[in-house]
Amino acid sequence: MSIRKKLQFSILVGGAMAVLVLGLVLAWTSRQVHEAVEQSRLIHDVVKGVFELNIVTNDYLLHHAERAQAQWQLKYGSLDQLLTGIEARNPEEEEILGRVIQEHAQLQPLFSQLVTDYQSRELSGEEIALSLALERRLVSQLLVKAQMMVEDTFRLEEAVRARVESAQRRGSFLLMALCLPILGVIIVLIVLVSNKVVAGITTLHRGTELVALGDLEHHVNVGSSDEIGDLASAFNEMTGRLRESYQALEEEIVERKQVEFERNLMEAQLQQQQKLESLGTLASGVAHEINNPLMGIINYAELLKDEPTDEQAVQYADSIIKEGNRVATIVRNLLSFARQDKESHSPADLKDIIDSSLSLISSTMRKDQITIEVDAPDDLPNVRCRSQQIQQVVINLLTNAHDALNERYPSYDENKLIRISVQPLEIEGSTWVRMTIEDRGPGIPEDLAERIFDPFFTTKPRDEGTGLGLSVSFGIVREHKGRLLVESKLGEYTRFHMELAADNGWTHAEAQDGVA
Amino acid sequence: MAGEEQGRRRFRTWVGILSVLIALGLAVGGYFLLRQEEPGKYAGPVDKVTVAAAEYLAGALIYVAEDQRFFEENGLDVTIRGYGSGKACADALINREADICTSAGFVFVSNSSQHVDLRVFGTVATAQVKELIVRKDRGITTIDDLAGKRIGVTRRSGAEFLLGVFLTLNGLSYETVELVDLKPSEIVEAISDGDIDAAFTWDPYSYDIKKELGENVISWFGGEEFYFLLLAQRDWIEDNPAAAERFIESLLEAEEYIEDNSEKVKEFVKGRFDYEADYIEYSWPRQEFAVILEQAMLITFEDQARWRIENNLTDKTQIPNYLNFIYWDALEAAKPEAVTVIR
Repeated sequence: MSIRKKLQFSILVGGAMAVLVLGLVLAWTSRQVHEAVEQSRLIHDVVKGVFELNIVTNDYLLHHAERAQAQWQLKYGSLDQLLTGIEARNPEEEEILGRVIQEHAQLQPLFSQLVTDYQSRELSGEEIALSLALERRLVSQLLVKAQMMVEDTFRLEEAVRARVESAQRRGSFLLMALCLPILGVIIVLIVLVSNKVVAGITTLHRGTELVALGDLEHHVNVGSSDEIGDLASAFNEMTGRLRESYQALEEEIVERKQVEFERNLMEAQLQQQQKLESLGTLASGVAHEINNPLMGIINYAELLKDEPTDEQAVQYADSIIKEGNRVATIVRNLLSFARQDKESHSPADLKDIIDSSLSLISSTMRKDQITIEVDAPDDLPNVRCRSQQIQQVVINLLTNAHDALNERYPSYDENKLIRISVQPLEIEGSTWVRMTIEDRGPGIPEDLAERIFDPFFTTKPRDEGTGLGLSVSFGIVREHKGRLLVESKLGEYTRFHMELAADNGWTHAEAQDGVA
Repeated sequence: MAGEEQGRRRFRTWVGILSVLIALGLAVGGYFLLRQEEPGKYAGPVDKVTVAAAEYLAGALIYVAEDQRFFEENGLDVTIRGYGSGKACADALINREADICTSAGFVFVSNSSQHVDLRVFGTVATAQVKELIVRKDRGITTIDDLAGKRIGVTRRSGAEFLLGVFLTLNGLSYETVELVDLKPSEIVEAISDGDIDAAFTWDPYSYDIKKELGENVISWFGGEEFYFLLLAQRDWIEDNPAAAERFIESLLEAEEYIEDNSEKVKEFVKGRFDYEADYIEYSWPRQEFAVILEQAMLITFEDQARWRIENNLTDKTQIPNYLNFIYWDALEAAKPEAVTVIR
């Protein structure tokens, strides 16, 4: 049943009861009042009739007119009818009414005697005197009886009024007595309906608060089939849809974040690539320009050494040759960064490359008490690469990790650990292999992270590094259409990820197209 | 859902019907409880009635009822025949020239001994119009000064009867004064010329005397109430009880109209009877235009009848039972509280 129906039902029931009771009490009171008014009117008419009877009696005595006699009889008859109409409702009223009727009945013989006395008044002087004395006596009796009748009639009116007042008091009491249960019924109905409605609304309110706080699993149950019940069902349905939408939205956000992350990454790589390509072009140009004069310098220094004039000159020539070779090495590296040297790609197992690399630097690692952990599954797919170059990258990364650990932990520490892990992964439907080299060194500050792949950028002393290791590694990986990524948290770790496409039988050019 | 919606609609329909029924019940109940008892307008056959009406102020109810079309609205086609006196009106009734007439109580009493079929079924006015007017220059300043004075009066009229009542109530008698029998119109000239010292007369003659003598007069009202009656023949009233009742209803409407529109009615009467404005203002307060049947009226009739017997104005020796001359059914049906005759 709907709330409207419930309320209408309550109002109808309460209203009907109130109208019924009020109607009954009003009808009863009205009946009482009507009866009282009717009785009062009758009694008033009796009193008026008695007075009129007296008037007519006096009128008759004045001239003994036939009209007055007739009027007396008429009035007596109408009084008789009036008295018949009065109903006595209790013994007291019965007694008084009985007296009034009796007194009324006594009037008739007295008046008849008065008329007879007058009509037979054809007498001598003495008899006339007796007749007049009788007349006076009869009139006196008539007046006394009439007076008694008036007094008793007033007493009757008083008794009737007392009865009606008593009935009205009972009516008022009855009204009050009936009003209380009606009021009770109305209150109970209102309380029941309002409790039901308020309870439903409270449950809904609580549910709304919970949902607002994020509890989309909350289910509202009001247990009614009215509008509140409908509202609860709609609320639950709405919450369910909200939950589904929220989940879909979350998934979309994650997806978008991932896409955005990858896009940002690609943009960064692209920028880095473009920057390094420019640098490579520059370096290649510089190297070519420097290489020829440098060879001339070194050759002339060799000539000086072959034809020594003094020992001091030989020493200078050695120094020139040494520094010249050093510059030549730098130039080679620059050329290497700029991919001037060409080597064909061939399938290779990254585990083998890791092993070869470790064999070269394991003694250094041991010397500095650095532990290396390798985690590479046996079923790793091969990668098509220039093995020497990839090995160079691995050695570069391990050397950087070694230096970082030594910087943070000059002596032994249990955190002096390098983890090498290799795992296959799927990128856009293609199989790739990711190698991660992680150290627990000081980490890379955020402002430096962007520059670590720049050529000649280094945080090491001049005699310990040229600043070309990571840029050369980046160039090698890029040359392999792979990705070299860095991930670091200051004071905790640094991870370098090298991702290379697995060997799937494509040519190098096909592999390039696939990545592109 | 559709079933629920249908049920809701049905419930609303029932609530609507119930509400309309309750409202209608309350409206109808309220109407019947609170409505004024207004008699519906008459829609039956029209009765022709000829009325012999006195053409002076006391008969105003008849003329106002005609002017305001109350007779017409009550289904009466009334023809009014105007007469200069109540006696002439009564004669017209007795001669069957009219169905109803207006007449002074004394005229009715005078005729009642000979015409036992006359019926009184109401009044058109009660008034205190008969008065004793004296000339101050004749040394009359108190009633006691009337002893031995010449009083003009129309003998064998209600004026002579009321003069007797007046003298008796003031400790005088016919023997202590000198009565001069004069027609009403003669009285004005006689007292103005000084032929008589005082006059006992009625409107409009009393007004004319006062107008002639100005400050030289003193006057006293002449005791009993003057009734101006509605009379009909017994057979007519028994044959036309409904017409009689509607006639009474028309006069009651005129009575109410006069009560609410006295100034308008004064103007109407002034034009109708060609009265002076001053006369209307003089006489109006002395009149009460009311349709009644009261106990005192019977006493007055008997007093007048007794006076007529005592003065040998009739060959009858018994006072009639005037109760038998009263027809109260019409007035009791139209306005019961107006009937106060003891019965």
